[in-house]
Amino acid sequence: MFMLDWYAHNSRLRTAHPVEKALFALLCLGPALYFSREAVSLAIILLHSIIFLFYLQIPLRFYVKLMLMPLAFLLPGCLAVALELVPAQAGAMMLILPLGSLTLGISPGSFSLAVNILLRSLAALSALYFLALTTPFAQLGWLLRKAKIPAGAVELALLTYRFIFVLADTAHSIYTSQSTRLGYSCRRNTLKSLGLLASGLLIKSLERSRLMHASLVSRCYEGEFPSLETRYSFSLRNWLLIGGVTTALLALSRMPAFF
Amino acid sequence: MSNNIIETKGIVFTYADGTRALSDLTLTLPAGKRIAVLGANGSGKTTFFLCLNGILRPQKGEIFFAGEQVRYDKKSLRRLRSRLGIIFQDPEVQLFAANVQQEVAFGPLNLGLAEKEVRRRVRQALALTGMERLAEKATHMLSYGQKKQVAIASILAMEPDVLVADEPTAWLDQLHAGKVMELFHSISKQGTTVIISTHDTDLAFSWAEEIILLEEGKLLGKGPPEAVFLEKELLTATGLRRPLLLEIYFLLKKKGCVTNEAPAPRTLEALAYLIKE
Repeated sequence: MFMLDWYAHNSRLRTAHPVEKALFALLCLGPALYFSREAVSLAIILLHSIIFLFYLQIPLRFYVKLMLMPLAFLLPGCLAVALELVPAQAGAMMLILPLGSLTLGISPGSFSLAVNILLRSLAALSALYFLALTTPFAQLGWLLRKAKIPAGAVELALLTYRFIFVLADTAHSIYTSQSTRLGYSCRRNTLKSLGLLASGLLIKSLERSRLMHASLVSRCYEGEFPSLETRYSFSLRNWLLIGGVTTALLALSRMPAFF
Repeated sequence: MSNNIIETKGIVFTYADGTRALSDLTLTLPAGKRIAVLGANGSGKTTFFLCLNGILRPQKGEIFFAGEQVRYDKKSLRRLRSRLGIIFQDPEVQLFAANVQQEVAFGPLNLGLAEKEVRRRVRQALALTGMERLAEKATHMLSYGQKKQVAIASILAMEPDVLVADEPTAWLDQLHAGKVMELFHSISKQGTTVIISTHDTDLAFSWAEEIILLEEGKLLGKGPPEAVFLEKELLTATGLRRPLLLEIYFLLKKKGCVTNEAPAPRTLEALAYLIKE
């Protein structure tokens, strides 16, 4: 997860206007979810894989890991959609497991539905990954503010983002200090040490928030986190690309379904 | 009319757990000078600083800032903190924003300044600390030295009259420590009172114009470095060593290797100049 953040900050598209990036992601996400056409989903997956691997130079291994991660719950879900329990006399089925008067199997209809869902999910995921890999969190905060999301919620999101790293760092140093003292050398120690790590983390977080409050108050904090407007510029090329891709996806949606 | 920017009279501060951090502390700090507050660990330096900007309220005694007594209502505290900025020892605790620019802009924005002015101050503060190219960088991607510079920049951007830094060179390598002290030196030249706390006597000796010695929450000694550091018993009482340069100077003086009439040197070059052929 930290790699995602690193890629976002060092991305080629880091300085591009956040609205352009968000729009591109949304205009891929929308068609992916709305049109049930495999052609659209495949096109999106292919387009994004080209963008990630060749334009953003994401290493192949990382890309594969990113796409495989959600499969852990996507595959069982699709399998559940594919499997049907029908009366034994039903029409053509692919896998058959007779269960008395019923049959458990995969019909052409359920199979195509499962594949459709899988592709749609992967396409939507690709669109989201695009945003995650090109947009540092501060820009996402800017977008949320522009979208009139309440300031309090955006501030909370930004603070949470910052503190994830602080928490991870602290947890890591507690873990290191414990393991150098054999804290994780056997199962019993591991359980005990993990418990101590969790409680230590809580205590440190409370103490730290106290100190942070002192530093905020020293800078005249009055309950709000004002932010400096960052200026971005639009790029004609990006808008043309967005328009082109959207048109292509709409055209593909007119194609007949694969199954 | 005394030119003391800060004055304390008999302040006593005890923490909730019973630790008495400050006992009857009475002192004055001259305006526009480079002041080093020295003391062993636990002598009350940090507590003292936190009392100066109103974060801690002493149970007894009074604090005066620029001739006015420090009051603890919201408006007075806000005014005080806009003129006295504290850089805490651990930058990790201070940095909260998503990126460097937002962090540095926080102070000026809280002061209610116009956007143009805020941008100017942020740009200037980042330039002073050498962080201009890192303005858009996420705070968690900085090295420790860079985090420290950002913490300093975020206070500089508020353009305070008094800059207080709690152990500014702690955990820094010599290069970064030198840069920080140079920065403080140039800021002090522009009229800002700079107060640092340290237990590095060599650092204090070479940099400060006024030394404050604290021991167990009490004022043990005060004065220019040449005067304070000459009193060996005073230093040993605080658990501090005399500056190495001074020790060498006295050794050489005893052996007759240095000219007698000159005042004690504050830098290596000054010492070298005094050594007889």
